[in-house]
Amino acid sequence: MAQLNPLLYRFGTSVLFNLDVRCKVASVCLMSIAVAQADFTALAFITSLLFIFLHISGLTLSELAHDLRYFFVFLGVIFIVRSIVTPGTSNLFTFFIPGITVSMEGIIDGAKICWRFMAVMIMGTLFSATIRPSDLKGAVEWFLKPLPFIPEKRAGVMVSLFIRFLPLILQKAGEVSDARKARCVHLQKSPFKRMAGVGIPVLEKIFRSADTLAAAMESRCYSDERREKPFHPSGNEPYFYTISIVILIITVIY
Amino acid sequence: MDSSKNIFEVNLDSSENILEVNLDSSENILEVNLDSSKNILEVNLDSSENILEVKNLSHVYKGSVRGIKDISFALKPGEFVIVAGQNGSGKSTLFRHLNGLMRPQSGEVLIHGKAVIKDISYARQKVGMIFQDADCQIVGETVYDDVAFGPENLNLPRHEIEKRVEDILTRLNMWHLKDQTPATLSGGEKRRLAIAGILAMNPEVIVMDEPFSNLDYPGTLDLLSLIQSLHESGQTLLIATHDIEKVIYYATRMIIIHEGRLAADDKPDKLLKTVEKFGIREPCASKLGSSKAILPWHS
Repeated sequence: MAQLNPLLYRFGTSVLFNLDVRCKVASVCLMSIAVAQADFTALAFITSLLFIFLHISGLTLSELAHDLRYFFVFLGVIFIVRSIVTPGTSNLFTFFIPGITVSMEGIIDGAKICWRFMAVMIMGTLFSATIRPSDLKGAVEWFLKPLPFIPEKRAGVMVSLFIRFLPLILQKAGEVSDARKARCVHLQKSPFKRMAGVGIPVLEKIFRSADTLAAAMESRCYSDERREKPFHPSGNEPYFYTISIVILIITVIY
Repeated sequence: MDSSKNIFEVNLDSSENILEVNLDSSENILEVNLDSSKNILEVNLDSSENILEVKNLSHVYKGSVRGIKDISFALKPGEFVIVAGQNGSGKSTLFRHLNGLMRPQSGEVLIHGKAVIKDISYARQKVGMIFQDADCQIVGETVYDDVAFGPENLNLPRHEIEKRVEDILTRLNMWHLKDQTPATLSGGEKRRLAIAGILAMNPEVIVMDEPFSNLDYPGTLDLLSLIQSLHESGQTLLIATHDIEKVIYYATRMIIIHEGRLAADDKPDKLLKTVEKFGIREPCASKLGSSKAILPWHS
């Protein structure tokens, strides 16, 4: 049995799982815009809301932190760079190299950006864990249908396959990493060789899995003209639209 | 009675009061089943044509000597055929031609007389394929969604899809798992789910490529009992394996593929002593000289 990772859809009956998928997509779009504009107060409010939804959806912070551990490295790099490059009046300390100074404004700016990225990641995790890729395909088609010159069915398949493959990529990366650890990869000093050693086999495995998945879908008569699932509104959609729009307005105005 | 063209078999199983009469000529099959415990007499005369015909099929991979060469055979309704051969002999390549996943370089595959490449959707509906790696075959986010995937592709009405999924999951004793994420299932359950996904499309032939690979003992037993019940319900089965011991007891026919060519095609008991020269392990019972050369893998 495989270990579930947070990006993988799991069956649930809580409010987020039962929400109409179109409402989920719209709310995530509105909230993402809000997060991009938010300051610390708004971020604290939005993050608290996301933590509540995480808890309701059965996702734990510890497993989320474990699976996003490499993302924290990325956030760390962003924080350091923003701390250094953001000009400020109150310099905290200067490095040996002249001109490289860490300012209070830089630290605040770095923290805000990292927090925003983190909020988007939590939102994305909640989204992918509570939405079936096949439902998402239906929603993408529904949103794109009124637009001319866009093949909405193809776009829907592409988005749903991308969401379907995200957990697979993490799973394959984990397998390759474990196989390399078992063969003493820690003795390899060059970080570039270590990265290439993981990246190339992971890509190869993903392409091979994609090939098999495509053959399996084909052999089961997959085509654009298939019977899609109907949308099932749960009745909570107006509340989610209202909350998302209010948060967006407040963050944009203030 | 066994003349050159007609086979007449009578089996009387007194323990279960079942009389079976099978007449198998080249084209006609007569089955008479008398079950006195239920006072049921069933007579089936099946003069239908072959479900599936493979005619002079060849496909060699570019830059390689591997592939299949000039393979011909036909499949009748209700047959249980083992396609045996060592790794790389061409079994999977052959199977991928049966529902149009690969196109022949020469020769053809016919389903009810209709060429596969002329109507691929028809072929894929009639020939259901179970892949070696169940993980990559499962496309649904839950067990229910995965079984519904095929009927949804066939554009069936929603109520028909729901009915088929419920029937199949209940029949395969998986209804209680319907909301589970497939990743959390055991190896045997995943294989069972892959079969359920195919059965929901009502195929006439089920093709399984190395179905026992990566399965533990309980998983293998589980799959064996499912295969047995499918065969008993009249489903036509084609199973590729290099380990014939597990299924040979149930099979009605065995085809051996060796280096891409059809090396033998006969009843399993007639081929038993020849299999090792094609790189296939002879079943233990036969090797050890049991009076009953073919025994079930698990008693």
